[in-house]
Amino acid sequence: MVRDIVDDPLDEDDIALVKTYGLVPYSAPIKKVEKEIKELTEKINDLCGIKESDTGLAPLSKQMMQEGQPLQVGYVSCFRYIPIDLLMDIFSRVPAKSIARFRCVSKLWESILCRPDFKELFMTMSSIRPPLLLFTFQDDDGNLFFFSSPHPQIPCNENTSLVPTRYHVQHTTDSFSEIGSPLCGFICRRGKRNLDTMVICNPVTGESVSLPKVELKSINTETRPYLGYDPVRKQLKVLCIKSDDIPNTCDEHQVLTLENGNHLWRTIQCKPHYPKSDGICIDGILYYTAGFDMRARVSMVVCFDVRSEKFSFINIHVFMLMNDSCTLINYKGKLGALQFTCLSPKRLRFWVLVNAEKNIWTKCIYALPPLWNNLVQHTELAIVGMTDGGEVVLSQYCLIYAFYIYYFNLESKSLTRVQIQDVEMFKRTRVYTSLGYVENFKLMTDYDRGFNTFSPQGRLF
Amino acid sequence: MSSNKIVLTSSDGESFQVEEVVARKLQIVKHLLEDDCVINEIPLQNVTGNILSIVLEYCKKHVDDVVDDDASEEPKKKKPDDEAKQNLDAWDAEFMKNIDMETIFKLILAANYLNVEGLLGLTCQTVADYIKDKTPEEVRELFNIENDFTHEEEEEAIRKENAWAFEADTKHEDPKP
Repeated sequence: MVRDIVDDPLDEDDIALVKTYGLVPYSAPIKKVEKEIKELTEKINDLCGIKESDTGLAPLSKQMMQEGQPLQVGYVSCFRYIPIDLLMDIFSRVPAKSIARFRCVSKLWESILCRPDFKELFMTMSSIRPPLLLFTFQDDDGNLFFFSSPHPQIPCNENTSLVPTRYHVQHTTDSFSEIGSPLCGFICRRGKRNLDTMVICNPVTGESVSLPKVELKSINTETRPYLGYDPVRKQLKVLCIKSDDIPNTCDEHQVLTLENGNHLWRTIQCKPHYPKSDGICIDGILYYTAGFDMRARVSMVVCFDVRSEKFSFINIHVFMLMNDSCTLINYKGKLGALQFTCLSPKRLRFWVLVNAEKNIWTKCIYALPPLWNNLVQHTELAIVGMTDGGEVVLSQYCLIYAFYIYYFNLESKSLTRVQIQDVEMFKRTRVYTSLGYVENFKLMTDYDRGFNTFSPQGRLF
Repeated sequence: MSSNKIVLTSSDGESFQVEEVVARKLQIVKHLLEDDCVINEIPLQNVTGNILSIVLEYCKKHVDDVVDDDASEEPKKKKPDDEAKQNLDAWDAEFMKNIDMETIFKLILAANYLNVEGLLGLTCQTVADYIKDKTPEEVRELFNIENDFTHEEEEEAIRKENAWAFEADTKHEDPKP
């Protein structure tokens, strides 16, 4: 039965009628109670002088709406009815820069934005969104400057440029730091001179945490830190691989779980090897290429299970020709690798590990498009990685006059050059470009020992 | 799957007759129907007619969306391909563009109460995109929020601590030469 448009709420007759449509027995008392609550609420509202029959417009505006006039109050009046969990949902969808600004809107907003469950939600939403590019510059005094930007929409026109967001400046005491790839919004850097010093930094919060010094067996011990994420226990760990100049001697390495409180290195055993590439974390396994020593060829891909802290190895045959400049990537959830050929004409090699147990890789080699000579010429480019859309991202190592990154689509052979603006002051400075940067507001104090209570919805590495 | 019609009635008595499959996009309705009772009319007491009509317009367009807890009643339902998804996204953007901010907030409350997941995400994202580049002053004015910080608290503490967030994107502190 279709009801006529009336202004009354449901009355006794209506409830009786709805009852006859075969609702389960308990719904009648519920409806009765609901009706009582509604009547009481109306009584209270009448006493307060508020008339409310919808989601809450002030009486004056409601009257004006009915008269057909537009809302004249000049602000969003029903905003005050939005519950905090919906506010957090909205906030989790804006970039970190906006969050930082909104902290001074009011004390209520400041308190919401500093809540640990909000930071967890922000991190989750950040991870679901397409990851950002991160550019790191270091000046002669050791100060680190971080910039991020979303990827441009490819395909885009020739003159596309990106204006990146700049974060907190990090002041370091050790110039020429080695900087690793970001993971979960954190970056691990190691002093170039002080090999036993590792620092974890977060560009968004500006927090910089020094880890306890790593134990060095001799003055010739080298260290290489990697970040790894265990999605099951939601823990971020730092793995420090040590190697000596006498090959095959160093089988003790160290691992540390990032959390609030005292950070302690734990010793773990693994056969001696010399790490060569940056690490990439896929589904809780950290991968990096390695050789037997510094001068040896790449002979293995090391797989470190972040949760169990166990190592396994994928043998790299000499005919694969993987070298020190090979970049590991995440190709649709599988491990991939990209590398330029040494001999000219310069081409791009692309491997994908299709079967880890049987060590089966697909291998492709791609010629560079003719446009390469015009756009890139003789500039040395670093292979940064591959986007979800299958574009290989390449970056200058160093800013000369302008800073460009390149997108190379292997299938369509299209090459796009994109300029990064507002970084001209870093002329002749080394730049580290990374993919997969995720904005994260968490401080070290937000990481509890053991399990986090909030479970993220999206996939996290 | 029969093409049952369900009548949804708003708090101000406006009635809408829709296909059952459209009504089921409102999880609150879906749960009521789950008990396999024959219900032809459902009163929705926390939503006005004009908001409900907008919600139903969204639901009609998104009736073929694949949902995670799909009961697989229609085996021919398949994942929309990229082009279809792009068209839906374009429709969503146009849909939101024509709605004023006051109504969008009412839609957020309605989508939350009626539990229409896609619409809740869309409306929250629309608001997020609208406010993300605003200064704190503009945000306060938009939502009629009182600034209860003292000058010291706001200026000294928060703005200084987050100086990077207040820079216009084209102006950066120069590094030492």
